[in-house]
Amino acid sequence: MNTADILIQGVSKQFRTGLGKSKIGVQNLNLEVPKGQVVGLLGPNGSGKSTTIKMILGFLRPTSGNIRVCGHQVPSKITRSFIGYLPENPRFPKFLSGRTLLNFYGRLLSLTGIELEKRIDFLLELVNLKAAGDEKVQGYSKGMTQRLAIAQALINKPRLLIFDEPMSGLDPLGRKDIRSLIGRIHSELPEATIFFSSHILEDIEQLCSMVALLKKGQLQTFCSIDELLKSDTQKFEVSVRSSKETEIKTLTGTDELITFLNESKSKGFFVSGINSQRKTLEEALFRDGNSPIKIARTNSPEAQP
Amino acid sequence: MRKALSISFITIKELLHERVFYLIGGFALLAVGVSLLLGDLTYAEQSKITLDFLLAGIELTNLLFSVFMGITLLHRELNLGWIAMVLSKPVSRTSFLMGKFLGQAFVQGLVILMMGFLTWGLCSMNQITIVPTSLFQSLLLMFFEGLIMSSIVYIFAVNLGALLAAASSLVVYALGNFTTGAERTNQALQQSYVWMALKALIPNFRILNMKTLASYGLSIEWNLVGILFLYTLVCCFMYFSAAAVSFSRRDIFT
Repeated sequence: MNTADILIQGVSKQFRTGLGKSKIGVQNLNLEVPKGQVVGLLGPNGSGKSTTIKMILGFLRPTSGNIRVCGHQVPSKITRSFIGYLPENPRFPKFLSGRTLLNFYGRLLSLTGIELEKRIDFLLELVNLKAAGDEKVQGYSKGMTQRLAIAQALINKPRLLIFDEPMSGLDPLGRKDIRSLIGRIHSELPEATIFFSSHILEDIEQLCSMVALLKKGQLQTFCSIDELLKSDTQKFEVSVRSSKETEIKTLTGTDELITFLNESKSKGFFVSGINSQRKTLEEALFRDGNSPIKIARTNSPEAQP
Repeated sequence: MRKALSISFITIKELLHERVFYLIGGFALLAVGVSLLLGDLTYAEQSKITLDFLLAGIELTNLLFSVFMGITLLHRELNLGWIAMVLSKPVSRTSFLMGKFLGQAFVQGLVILMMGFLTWGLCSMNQITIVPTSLFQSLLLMFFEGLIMSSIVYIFAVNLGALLAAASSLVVYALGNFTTGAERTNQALQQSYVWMALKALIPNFRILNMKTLASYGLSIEWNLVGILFLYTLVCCFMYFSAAAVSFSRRDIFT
């Protein structure tokens, strides 16, 4: 039995753009998202992030390939009972209040009565909308709407959370709010898998344990953030004091560091400090400034659940 | 079914928020205008023509409601992305469509009923005799027509843009009203297979039209109303199923 919460096997999606013309959305995608991980789906605009998410939800039908969510074939109602989804730029009927909307979404998940009311109260508190819960959505700011959308995604304590560009269009403060909210969600639902797309590297680096990089509909990289940031070239900042001055040198890799330390010792220089510099995700992913690196840790399409 | 009812409840709220009852206000203005304009006619003519005009007004409002509200309800969901949060829950697309349809049907019934009361009130004020049974039957058949029209509108609305969906729906409405007449004037049509196929696919709205009878104060057998109700159910099932199958297969980009 495969324990992956999302299993994508050889999935391609082509869109018809005109008579006899088509555009590739996603091409031969293989991805296995393990349970309990926070996985970032990274890529530039048009790379296939939203297409992948919509195929997982069953909104789009793959041209070929197979998708399973929590062991069940997509599309089916049962897969969606495991999922909490936050769309990109969520919008709600403006004539309803936040509480009425949460009640409506709860009923769609077969929740009723006191259980539902308690859950709504808890979620409004969690997303900091308790005071505005009875107000119509019409008066909500972008950040409040985003937080309400997160609340509706959490209403059934989902096993799999899918967020499509959760920080899109928010100001820095709003982004910080949502980031800390995702952190809180992870502590409230520690078993849950969080799968979210973004093109903001900083957000992925701060929140995710794993990252998948898409480019032009193809998977370039899929590995853990630690593995990615640790891999090959680690940088060190060394402070060296000679008789005249103090110099700071940046060294790449442990071999270079050891050689430098030995040389300094033989020259009688004093090494006053060594700082290990952690790479940023940007440095790790785009070493030559443009093309993303390829780390072949994609999962085999043969893997069966 | 409970999920479809939840969706229909929200749809009712949405339609009421749309100020759909402005339609009734518009109809009331038309009704008063008609009664003033026709006031100079002799009593017998006035009674028949006024009622005929008012019923035609209700029929037109009913048609516009079916076409434009049906298209707006679905297209707004798709264009504004409200649908994404509904369909990401364990709700089938058929349930979603059913919820929309039921909500629309409820408000449509309410609108027809209110316009019927207005007609009654206005006719009573002008001392025009109305046979309640015939007026009620006429309104009921209009409601049936509205239900069939809405289910046809859904087929086009889930596949086409708003303008094309509206135009296609109105063409079907026109064909549904004129097939019987066309057959009478052109006997050769009865031999044509294409015509026979068209007749099988397009509902006969003519049989649901009893405005003229109602304006003369005549009513029909309740058994016949029952048969027409069954006809409405069969048509709605057929067209709604086509809309649901089509909607379940399409990609949702929102």
